[in-house]
Amino acid sequence: MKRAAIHRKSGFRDPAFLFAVLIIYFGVMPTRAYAYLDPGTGSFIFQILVGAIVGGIFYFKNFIASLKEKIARLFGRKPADDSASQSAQNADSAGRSSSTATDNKPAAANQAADSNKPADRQEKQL
Amino acid sequence: MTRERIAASFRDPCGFIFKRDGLIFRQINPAGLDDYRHLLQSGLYEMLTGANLVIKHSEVAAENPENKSVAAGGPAQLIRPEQIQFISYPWEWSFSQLKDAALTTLAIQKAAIDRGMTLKDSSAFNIQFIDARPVLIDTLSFTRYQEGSPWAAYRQFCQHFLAPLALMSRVDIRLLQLFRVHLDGLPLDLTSRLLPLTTWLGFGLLTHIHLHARSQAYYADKSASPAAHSGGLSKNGMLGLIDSLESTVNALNMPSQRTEWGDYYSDTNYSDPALLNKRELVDAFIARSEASGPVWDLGANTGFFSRLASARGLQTVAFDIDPVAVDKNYRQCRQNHEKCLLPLLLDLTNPAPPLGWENRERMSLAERGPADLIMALALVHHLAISNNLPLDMIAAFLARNCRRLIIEFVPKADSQVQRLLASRADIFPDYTQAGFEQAFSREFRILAVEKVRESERLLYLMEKA
Repeated sequence: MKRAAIHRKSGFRDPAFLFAVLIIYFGVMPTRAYAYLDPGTGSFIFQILVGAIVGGIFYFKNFIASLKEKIARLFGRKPADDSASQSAQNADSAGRSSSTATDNKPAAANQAADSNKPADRQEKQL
Repeated sequence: MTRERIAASFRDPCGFIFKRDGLIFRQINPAGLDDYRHLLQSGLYEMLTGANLVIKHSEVAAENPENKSVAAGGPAQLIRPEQIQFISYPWEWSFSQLKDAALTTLAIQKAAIDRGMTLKDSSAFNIQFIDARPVLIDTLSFTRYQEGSPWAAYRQFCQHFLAPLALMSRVDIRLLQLFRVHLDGLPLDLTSRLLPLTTWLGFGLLTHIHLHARSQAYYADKSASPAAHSGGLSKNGMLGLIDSLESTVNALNMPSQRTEWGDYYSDTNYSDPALLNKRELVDAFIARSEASGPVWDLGANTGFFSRLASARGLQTVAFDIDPVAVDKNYRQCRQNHEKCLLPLLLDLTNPAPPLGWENRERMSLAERGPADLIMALALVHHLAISNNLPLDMIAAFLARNCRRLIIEFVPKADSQVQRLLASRADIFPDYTQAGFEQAFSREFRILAVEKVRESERLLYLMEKA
């Protein structure tokens, strides 16, 4: 699998260990900087380090999702219905790239935010 | 034909926006043409506009005298984007608006990566609301993605979206206003310091805010080159980063915070017939005003009366000072796929000044007007009594910002005014119907007056004199 190859290439195999290193690494760093600021550098390097971890988690999530799908198929059930989020007017259909197709979490901005909120009532205002 | 370059459009050498004959255009310089063409040819533009994530545009024949000044010498491309009725800024959004804008940005980045492109910036100012949907308005935000390169806009995303959302959700909803001071988003070190210690326990905020801020501080005085970190960010790492940011944003919710106006509806002194009568009167006044342009509803609360205007197809901005009311209004718009209505946060007694470079980048409220019609319902007593504003100053302000006006006068006998006067001396001898009409007659012609049934309140339809 292509994704697996990419993951191995990065050379990081244990996200938990790496994350612990990150916490120690940046947890003890000073929070104040007195020099001329170039906030881009820290963000750039940081996301390369973090990318190995979140990439690993992402790969693992997709792996589990596809595994669930395979097991469901094995027992003759259809995989989880994805149509709701795909029909959403908002991004989600676009946001769900082919490589994330196994991730069943609704990504749509609207759906995600709506699900967290109590139902709206028509309020009167004067 | 005169063209006026928009003052906020100076950062990107790939192009800029300008106004000509009242319409907004975007010029794509030769430096940006390759990316622009790739956006179209890759099918990404079609996909994103089809999903209402990116603004639609049409190509326009360039008029050449101006193009000679284009640095790279070649011809530029002009496009005319769908016109935005009212430009809004992140500090005017409610929590859900900012959250939806953040999720939209991530959805766009995810789709872009899939088609071999990436967002080169993720500024909250690039998102505008069209019919209650957040839409990316910067067609030139896309550039080709090279596998291995990190997301250049990661820092900006954290500062413009994640940091204010985290502070609003975990500390206080009013902290959004820090954005007015920090126009490139909230500094992560400040955000990290303001967030409660419990936020160190969750993976998302720990990583993208706290450790990210430490990393920025650590590298601030070092000449480390990102290129030195061989391997870069794999495509899987990039998708993981977007996924992680998405989960972090999704986990942040509107705080259940009590605000002054949160319970307004339940303790009003109006009986239902009065409400219905007022609704009828306002609706009739909107029809009679023959308004055809933008409508501003000042003190709109959750937009009960704003909807009378937007239902007529009038582009309506529903301003209110209360973040909870604005959020309710926005969620209602979103749920019902309402058109022509934009709920925004505004403290009328201290509206945002023009901000940014030379105070010209981000416009003041007045610069984004005037409105064709202003509705000021149940508002005047708050300005006049709570804020000690003389009635003639209120009239002058409204006259500068609209052509027609629907305004409600709430007399002293009204229980709401009595409540405002309960804890202070009555130093408002001119706050009477006669005083109100005299002050407003200096600026407006009064076209109609109606008394709201079962109340002492008066509704006026006025036209600028």
